[in-house]
Amino acid sequence: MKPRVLIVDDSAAVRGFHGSILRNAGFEVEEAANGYEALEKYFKNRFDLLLVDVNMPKMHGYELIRQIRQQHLSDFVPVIVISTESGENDYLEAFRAGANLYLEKPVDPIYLQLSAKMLTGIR
Amino acid sequence: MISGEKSFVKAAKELLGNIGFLVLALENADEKDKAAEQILGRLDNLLELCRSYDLEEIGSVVEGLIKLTKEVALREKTIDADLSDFMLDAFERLMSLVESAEKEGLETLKKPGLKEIEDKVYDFLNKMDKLLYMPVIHTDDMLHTISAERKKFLRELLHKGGDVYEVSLQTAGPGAMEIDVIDIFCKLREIGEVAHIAADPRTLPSLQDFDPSNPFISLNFIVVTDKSAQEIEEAIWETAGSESNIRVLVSPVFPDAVMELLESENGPASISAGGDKVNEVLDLIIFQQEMFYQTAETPEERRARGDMVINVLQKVAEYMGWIAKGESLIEALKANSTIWPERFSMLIGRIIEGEEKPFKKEQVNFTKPPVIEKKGEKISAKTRDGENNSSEGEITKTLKVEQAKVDELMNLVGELIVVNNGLSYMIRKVEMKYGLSEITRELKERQVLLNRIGKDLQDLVMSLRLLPVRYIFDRFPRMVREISRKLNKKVRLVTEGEETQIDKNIVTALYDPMLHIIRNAIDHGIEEPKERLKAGKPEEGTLILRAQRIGDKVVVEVKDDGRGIDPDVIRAKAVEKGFISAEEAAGMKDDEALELLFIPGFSTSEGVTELSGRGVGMDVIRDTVRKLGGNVRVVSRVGIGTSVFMELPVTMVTSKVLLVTVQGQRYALPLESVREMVKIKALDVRRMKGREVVVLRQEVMPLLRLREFMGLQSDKDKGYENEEYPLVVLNSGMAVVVDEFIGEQEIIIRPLAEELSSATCFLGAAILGDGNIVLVLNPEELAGGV
Repeated sequence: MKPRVLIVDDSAAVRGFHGSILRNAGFEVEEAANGYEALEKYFKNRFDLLLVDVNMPKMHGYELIRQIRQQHLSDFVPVIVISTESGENDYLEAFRAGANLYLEKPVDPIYLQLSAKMLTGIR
Repeated sequence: MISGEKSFVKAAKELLGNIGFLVLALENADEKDKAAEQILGRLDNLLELCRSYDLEEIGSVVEGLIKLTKEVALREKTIDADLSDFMLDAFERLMSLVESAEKEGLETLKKPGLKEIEDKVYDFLNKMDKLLYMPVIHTDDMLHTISAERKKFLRELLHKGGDVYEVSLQTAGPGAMEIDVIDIFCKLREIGEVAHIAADPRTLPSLQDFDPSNPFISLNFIVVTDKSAQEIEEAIWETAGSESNIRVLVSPVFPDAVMELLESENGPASISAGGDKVNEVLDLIIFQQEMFYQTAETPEERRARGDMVINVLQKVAEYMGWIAKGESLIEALKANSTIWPERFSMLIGRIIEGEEKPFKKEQVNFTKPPVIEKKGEKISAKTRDGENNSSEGEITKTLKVEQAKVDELMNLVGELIVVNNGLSYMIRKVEMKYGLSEITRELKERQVLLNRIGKDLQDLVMSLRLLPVRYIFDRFPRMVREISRKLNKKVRLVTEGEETQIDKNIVTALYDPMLHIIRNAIDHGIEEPKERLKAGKPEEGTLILRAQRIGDKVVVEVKDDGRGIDPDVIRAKAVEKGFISAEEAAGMKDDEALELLFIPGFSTSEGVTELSGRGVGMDVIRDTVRKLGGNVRVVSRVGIGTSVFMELPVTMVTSKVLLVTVQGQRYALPLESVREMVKIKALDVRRMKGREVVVLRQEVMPLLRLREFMGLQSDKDKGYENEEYPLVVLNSGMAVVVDEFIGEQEIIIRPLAEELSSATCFLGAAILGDGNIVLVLNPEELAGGV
């Protein structure tokens, strides 16, 4: 069974870009355009990895992560944050919210593939 | 020279001064961007300056250097030594031009010699184009992002045979509009098969610098063809037009490597280029898991996070093939974790650390899903909290304080201690005179307490002045490079103990002697590469700078593995120069012979070289170090190497003193307590109420003859009426007669040994530059001493 990743980003282009990178790495990709859509999909399906954008309308990326982290019902899902910010505080805020990995935009495709694979343990 | 020219020279010198440091910083990945930015800033100003003085020739050289720096700044890679050497040279040439213009006028800057430098700059720029481009081959990276069908396509192509090339096409600026990428693409398809096209965003300007009117093209093609690289390049130029402002690089890719990459099921971990990235990502993940773990806000969250991190690390270990799927990470850690990176194991260790400790109180409130609870229940919340605090405590808050304030604080603490010392004396006096042992004992206790607080305070303030020796060690790599390059020697510099703390004044004063010792070591110590090989040593000499704290001293060592100093040569030289007799030399031990190096005017070098033959000998080094309160020693073995040890005190408080003599003996008076120094005639000394006084500018001052005060033979009667006495007037209004003034000197006052501390008439003692000891008088005591 292919590992499943949920990509949450308000930009369809970015979703497509990250999606194709991860598809090439052997992931099955699901997309969500905002936090609510993401939560909905997250509760319905099993995911092995979440890829979350930070600045999104309706629900901020960190808020989404917080909500997911508060649900202890499901198994732990690693979360990668992809952000345009690179300050120390941005990192810390992401970790406080519960992100496991913080990558800066523009993300190196190889980095993204490797990170996704390492966090899911899939070669 | 006209004033306008002067200001040009001044400004140009400012802009070019120290620019070499920035060039060297380009070699360091962390500093590169900043350094390039600073260099560009300076060069832009210089260019403007040149233009405003109509110095077209020098301006275009600067322009070339700007282009060169921009190229460097664009690259991900740091620059190599060849290029930085070249840039250093170019800047040096510019600087010397400016310096010659200072003497001969700006006209010198218009002489033809410049054209040659400019050509060199452009030569290099052209060379650079390729030089810096070579590492930017992205085929491996590109292939990872290729879709499955594309991979299949490429694989088929490769099976058919043919060479694989990566063609990178780049252009920026208005010229990009005229490039027809489609045309080029079609041309490439004519030549062979285009297996893949990818945009390369790496050199893309940042959003702030993005200018919509300046389009940017950066494309990488993977082409499979039977044509040569040159033919491909020519075809592209033909299509684009030879005048067009593009950059083309065709680099062959080894087909087998591509095949391997395409066929490998394991992905990037199995290939070398990807392997580096695997480690980078691995480091990143481990580092970020540490941060993730630490940012937990409550103990509860911390436990949950510990679990998550273990979960993540488990996956990482599975990916890396360290453990089998589903195998317990913790079991594996206990069994064998030697191949894991230390940080990885340590992080796991930290998280599971508390496992053996029983978990008590929080268990009740702990309502987590069973999976987490099972591990979490055993983890002691208390230890976690402790960790949290300590990790927060690591963030040191700093405060910038003027050095003058610290110095003043130091002086005040010093005064406090002196006053306190006086107090102890007073208490003893009271005890002896009035026998109030009950009260004096209590007083004594308080005084001891005060004494301890004073000492602690002194230690604390001292520590404020400490700096790591890194502060100067960091300046040497560049010097060593330059010196060894000039002498055609190969030298590797190793620094150890850079974090050793030492007084700021000592650190800064140490630079010159160390530089000199290093110069000596490279010039005279380390042999030429050929000679080293012949002696069975590695071609590259090693120079070690080492700092180490030993007790209350810091030992700084400069060690080379060169030819060593032959004591016989020293002996012979010393005899020849007449410092010692032949008999003395014969009876001298080897280490005593090395001491001869410190005789002023002694130099062992056969010939004077440009670098170390500047007349600064080891004697000067010893003087400098002695003034800092330290000492120098040389240890050397012929054929093995030489070490120069500098023993220094950790702290140093310098004071300016006035040196005077009394009956051939030198004494020092703190300069801050001296109001003035005058010479008076014996006539000016009067007697008033049975005491000697002196009238100076209508002020009557009590007179103290230092000879009498020190219990030496009085000079009262010896003077003729017209003889002049040197007189020191203290701030307290006391006039002190001495034999002679010597002058001002900066010394480090050290407290007298415990047994002598009751001699309150002395503040302490100090070692002078010549190695002699001088006692420092306490002006307060002098005031009361009549």
